[in-house]
Amino acid sequence: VDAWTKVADRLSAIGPVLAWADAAAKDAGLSAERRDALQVCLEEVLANLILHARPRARHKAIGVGVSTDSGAVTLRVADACQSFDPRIAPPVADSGLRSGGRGLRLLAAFASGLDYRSGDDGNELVMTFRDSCP
Amino acid sequence: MGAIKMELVVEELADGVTRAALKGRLDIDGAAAVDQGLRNLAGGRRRLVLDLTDVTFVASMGLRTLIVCARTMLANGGKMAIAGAQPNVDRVLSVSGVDQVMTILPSLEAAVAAMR
Repeated sequence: VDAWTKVADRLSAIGPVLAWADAAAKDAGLSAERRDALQVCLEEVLANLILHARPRARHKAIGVGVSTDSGAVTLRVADACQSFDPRIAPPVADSGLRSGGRGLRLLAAFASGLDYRSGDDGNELVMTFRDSCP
Repeated sequence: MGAIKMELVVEELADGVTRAALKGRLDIDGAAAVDQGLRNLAGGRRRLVLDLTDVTFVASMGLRTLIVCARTMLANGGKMAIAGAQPNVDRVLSVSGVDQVMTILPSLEAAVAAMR
């Protein structure tokens, strides 16, 4: 991980983290289109954690790491909440005008790669963005 | 990002149709900037067109703002349509499935016509 930041458990903390991650992606040479994809996914993940996730203990301990390699940007979102694997959690089939239930679709469509692990020390979602796909 | 403040301009058109034109990035900060204004419109108008022609980006919280607006309109017996979404914005609307629960039309003219 090239850089790491903690994220406070409030929505107003998301904007500065998005700007921070976008600056790293821009420095790495990621296209504007893929930087937007990164923003869509990161905002979705952080908003879900802040609005909906239940901490295992007292704090959610949300953090975001950014690393770059060969034109790809990898985001690692760590938390100490109840585990939720976005790769296998079933999306809401028909959420109508409910405002939730749509995030998994965005992650699957906009991230070039998704990985997730959960252990005693917490959870980590890894999202990769590169210009070649999807 | 972050440099353009989200703008909301309201225009009353013929036949009781209200046009709410958004300009900027509808990210979490943009959504927060226009959320209350859109809630107020949704609570007091019967025919509302959200003109997204000048919206360059939309993400999770922006979608939430649009959905809450549409839900309020529906609860009040009103009609709402989204118009003019740019291709990248339109893709977020379609991938998220918002296009399945809202009327989304390519032009302001088509959206206004759908309100009548």
